[in-house]
Amino acid sequence: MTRRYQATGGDIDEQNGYRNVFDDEQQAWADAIVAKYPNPRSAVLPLLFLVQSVEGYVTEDGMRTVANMIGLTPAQILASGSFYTMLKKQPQGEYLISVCRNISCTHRGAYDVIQALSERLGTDAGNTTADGRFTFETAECLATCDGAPSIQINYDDFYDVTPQDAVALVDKLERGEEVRSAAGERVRTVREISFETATAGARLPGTAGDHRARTVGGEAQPSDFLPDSRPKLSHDEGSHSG
Amino acid sequence: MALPEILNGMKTVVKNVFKKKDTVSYPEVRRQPFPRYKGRHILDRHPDGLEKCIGCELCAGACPADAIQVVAAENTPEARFSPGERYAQIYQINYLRCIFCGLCVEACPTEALLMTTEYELSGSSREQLIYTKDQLIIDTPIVRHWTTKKELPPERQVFS
Amino acid sequence: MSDGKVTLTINGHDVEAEENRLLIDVAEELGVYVPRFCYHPGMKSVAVCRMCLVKVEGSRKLLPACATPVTDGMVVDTVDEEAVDAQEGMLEFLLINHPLDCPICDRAGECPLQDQTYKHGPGSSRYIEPKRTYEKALEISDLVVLDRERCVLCWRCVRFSEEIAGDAFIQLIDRGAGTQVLTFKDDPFDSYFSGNTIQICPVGALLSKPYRFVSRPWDLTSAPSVCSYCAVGCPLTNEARAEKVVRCQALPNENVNDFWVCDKGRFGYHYVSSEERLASPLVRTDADEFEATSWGRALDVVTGRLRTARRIGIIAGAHLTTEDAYAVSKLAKKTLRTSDVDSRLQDAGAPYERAAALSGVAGSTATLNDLESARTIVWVGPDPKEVLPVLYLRLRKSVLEEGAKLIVVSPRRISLDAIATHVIRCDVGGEAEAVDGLTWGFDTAVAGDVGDPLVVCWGPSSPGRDEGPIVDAVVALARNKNAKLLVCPPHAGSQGMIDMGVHPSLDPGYTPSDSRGKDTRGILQAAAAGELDILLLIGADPVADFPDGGLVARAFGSGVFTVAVELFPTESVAHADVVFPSAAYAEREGTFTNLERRIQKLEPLTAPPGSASEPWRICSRIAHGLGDDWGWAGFNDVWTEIRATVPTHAHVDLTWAGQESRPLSLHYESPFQPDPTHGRSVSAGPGAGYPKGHRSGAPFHTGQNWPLSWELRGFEARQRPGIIPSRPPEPPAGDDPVSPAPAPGAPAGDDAALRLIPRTDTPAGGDASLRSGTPLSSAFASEASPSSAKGWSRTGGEDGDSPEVKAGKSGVPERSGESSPAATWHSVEDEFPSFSEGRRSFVLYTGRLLYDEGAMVSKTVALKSLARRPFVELNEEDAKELGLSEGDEALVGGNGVRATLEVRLGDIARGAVFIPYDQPGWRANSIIRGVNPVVEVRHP
Repeated sequence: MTRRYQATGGDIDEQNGYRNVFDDEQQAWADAIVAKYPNPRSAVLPLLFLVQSVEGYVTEDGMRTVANMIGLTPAQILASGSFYTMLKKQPQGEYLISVCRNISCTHRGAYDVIQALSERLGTDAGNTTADGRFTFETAECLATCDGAPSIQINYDDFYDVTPQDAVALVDKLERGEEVRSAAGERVRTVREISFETATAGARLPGTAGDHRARTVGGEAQPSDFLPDSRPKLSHDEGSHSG
Repeated sequence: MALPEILNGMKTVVKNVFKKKDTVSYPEVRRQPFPRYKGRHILDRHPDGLEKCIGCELCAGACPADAIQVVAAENTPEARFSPGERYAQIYQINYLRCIFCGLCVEACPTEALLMTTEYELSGSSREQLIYTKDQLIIDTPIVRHWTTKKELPPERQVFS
Repeated sequence: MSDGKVTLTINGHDVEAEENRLLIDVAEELGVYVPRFCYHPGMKSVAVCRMCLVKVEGSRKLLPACATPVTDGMVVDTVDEEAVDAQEGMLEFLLINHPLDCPICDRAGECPLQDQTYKHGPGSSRYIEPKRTYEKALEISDLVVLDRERCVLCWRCVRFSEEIAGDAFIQLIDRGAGTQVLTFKDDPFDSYFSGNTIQICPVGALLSKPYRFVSRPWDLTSAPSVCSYCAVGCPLTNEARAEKVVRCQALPNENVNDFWVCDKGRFGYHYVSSEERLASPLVRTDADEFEATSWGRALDVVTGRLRTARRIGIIAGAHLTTEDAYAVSKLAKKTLRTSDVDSRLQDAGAPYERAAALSGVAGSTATLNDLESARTIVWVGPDPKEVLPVLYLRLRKSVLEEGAKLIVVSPRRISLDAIATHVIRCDVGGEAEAVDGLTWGFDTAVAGDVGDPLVVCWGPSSPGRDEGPIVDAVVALARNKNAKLLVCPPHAGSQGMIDMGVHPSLDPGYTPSDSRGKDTRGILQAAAAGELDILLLIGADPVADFPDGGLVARAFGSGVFTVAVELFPTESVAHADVVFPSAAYAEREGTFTNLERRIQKLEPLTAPPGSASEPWRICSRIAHGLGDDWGWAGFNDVWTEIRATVPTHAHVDLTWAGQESRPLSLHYESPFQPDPTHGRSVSAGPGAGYPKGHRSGAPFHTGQNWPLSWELRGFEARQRPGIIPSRPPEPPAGDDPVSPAPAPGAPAGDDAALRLIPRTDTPAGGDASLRSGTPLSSAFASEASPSSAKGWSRTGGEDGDSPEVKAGKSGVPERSGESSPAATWHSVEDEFPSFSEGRRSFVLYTGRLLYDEGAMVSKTVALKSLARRPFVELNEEDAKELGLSEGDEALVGGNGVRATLEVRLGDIARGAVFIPYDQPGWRANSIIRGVNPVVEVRHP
């Protein structure tokens, strides 16, 4: 059932009664993001990432805030936002653990990893732990079949993961220790990566240059999790052909 | 001469005089029709008591005599008549128009509308012969005008 | 080819077609139907349903006919094995998830998916897995029900709401197999055009809530008609089951409404079959009660009175048809020999006759199609989305699709602002000044965009106020720039009334009357002063509509003998002495003249209740009773006479003979259509179109009972373009009320500019503040008429504790000297303090909203609940000064009446407030006094 309403003929200005999710600094970022594009409509996705960085996921108020900012209807924001699986419509944990269960990974024991993680986290795939720190999902091919079974934590790759490795990773994250992915990057929280994605290429007025745009592989350091068996990483292209 | 023809005719008469009578003294004695005889309709229910009829009006659409009227309405959680969203609020069959062809029964997508073998349809006014949903629904017993003392089985049909 | 034509071959037939047309349209005109779901001629192609794939020689793949423009030498085969295979495959795909709940689906029987599955489908499915399910039947608004399971993702509703209506409240969300059509959370599908998505939905996913489970398409009888609400005059089909109108759908007419109709027109039919309709004549008895009586007796009472009456006033309503208008005009001016006849109630201050200064037509010289070819459109008037919704769609299309520049002149934010090139935010009453600014190019930024062809649109906005200066300014602009004028009166019958001379100073055909009679205000004033013997209300409800509640109360309080012809027992009817029941638009033959003066015909569908009759017939009977036999037996007799006596209408031929009557391009060829090729020897579709795999295998074209899809019914009804009557000869120069303007086509010389000065009090050098969004005058509340201010002070008192006075038959303070419009409009008197003790006077600017408390809407169940509560819209700064904020309650008072209304902050000129005219619970006309009313607003 719809809530009771009086017809306004779709007057967007009548859309009120929501909470603006941005504080002043975030609003400044949002404005900077909109300023990046010739058409404000183009800023929908970065703004939704900004909402995710603020709220932890894309909330209803967040979508209304974005809609109001760029003059679209909330439905249009939902239509764009719901297409992208990285934008979560449900509350999710700080860390999103995705376990590939496609053919290569399944053959090399992905379901053992899933089983181990389920037991360790006390939840089935697709759910968030009670403390709200981890969301655990299964994924289709993560495009790293050569590192099967492969998992991602907040979209950072980990290769040749054994059930013990997976549990160890969760333990480390739970203790708040730094975890480095196969690419040697520190695994960040969902809010952090959402903020980076949202603000890539944008800059606040009065600040100089590009800020902390993500430099994939650029700050590579020895990984916590780069099994010896795996060939060198992508920035070391030569070893593939060799 | 016509004598051979007369004799021939008399032969038929004599043959039939000693045969068992096919007529019965209706209404005390009634014949039971064949199981697939197409008589008066009923509206069936599901085992859980909900009406099978969903008010789709396909019977009315199929009726060549335009004898059926259905007006549908929406089920609500408070007043649920049939499974799903739609039920027949008004269901009427006009037996003055019905030709008992059975196309309505064929059209019914939920097998709600069935035909019984009841053939005694008479009344003292036109209104009485427009059967409403309360009369057609299966839990209303079919009442006859006169009690039956004896019922002949279908085998005792005239043309059996 | 050089002439923009190309020749191509479709299924072996050579066709010549205009370049850049879509293959699907060209094929259809040839009689070759290509199945489709997403394609709709009123919207852009997206080619998402993949149903219209056809074989084109030279193309490696099949091409979607809806997104392929025709090219020279193209060889197309729509029945190629490969194409048919693709079509069958697509249908099998669509039916994977489409539930086969046709028996409970309202669309069944007129469903494009059903029809095309029969005709183009594979006949069986190989899919045995469970279907995708969603919660059934979501009510996404009070008018629309959504069943997501049935959706085939054709994007029609999404495209309509984004492209056409601009209310993108319905979208396809999620992705892949989970894609579903939905609104945002619990937000309602709050669009004035939501019903169109129901009509264009090719399945039963979007359904009408009022029509839900009401009928089957094969139970319906239908008749072409015209919407009875606003002056756009959208053609409709009325559909009835068992003598009761149960559905209205838009009939496409590319001249008028394209394919669309607003929700008020679509769902506003319940009033026709309302239980409250008057069914027999009523006469007031000595005991002061109404008594049902016979026509003869009621007519005797009326004619008896009329024989002795000397002073007669006639007010006609603007929802009557053109021939009713002629009958009223004839009754008044011929039989009763009075010119005290008028049809303007809400638009009482709108001098349409002054528009005749431009071309002799007291109405539009532009057509709606002119909007689309215009380079610039100037809009001066009310919010078209609220008052003339489909005109809003046409304007939107002209601006967004055809690239016209739109200049909006309005004291408050209206829906057009969002698409306007320039918005000139003027004071209330400052419109004339702003339009003059355009005429003489004061504002160079805006003037640069005033191009040619130019269409100037004007409609009366705030009910009752004097629009004279605005009309003059608009006419001057149109004349100066050689532009066309679109006059936008509010109601379906408004223009017909003017055409037929239901006007104190115009006779039929826009000829000036010999004697100038009283207008509505004059008639009511005469009644109030006891100077009227008999008042005839023909479809008019002054109590609800006339923008001076106190005057109406005094008029009826005087006990004038009143005769009413009405649909409903309205509040005005309650004051009448004799009442005649009138037939509604769906019950009668007739014509409506729309705002571009297009005459379109209504066909009767149901029978009127009781002995209700058409108003023209009632007028004719009254005249007969007075010994003047008009000899009218039927509708055609009226028109014969109109043709003979009204020169502008001499050529109006309602048999539509000789008019273009072409099949609609919007239809699905149903398998139930006997001859899918329309008599041409073209093989169309696989197997010329009978259901493959149907169990009987027999063709379905026998018998008339088979359901026809709604599009097909539209096809049968045929498009009737309507007729625009001719213009009268140019009026003599002496009648020109806009003397300063030069003749059409003449360049605007200095002379003309100088002669403009007297009226505007503004130096022709230009007001520097005449820019977008800047108020023209900084002195707010300066437009107040002194008489109104006095009136309020007297009844309200200065102590801020004004007694509550109801505008009724008694207790209304007698006031003299209803201010004459011309005298008060520009008088700037700062008589009352602009700000004292938390209370301030504001210029009142009212306007109708789409769903209001009008007699017809309030009797329409589906729309009744949608009407907004009354509110008062204030400028933010003004509200701040008063200590009011959004959602607060404010005390609004004027004319001795006060009310507590919700505050809304809006973009409105300072010193003005907007109050919707007629919303449930409170009528703004009670607060209005005089022509340019002032109200006070304060904190409660």
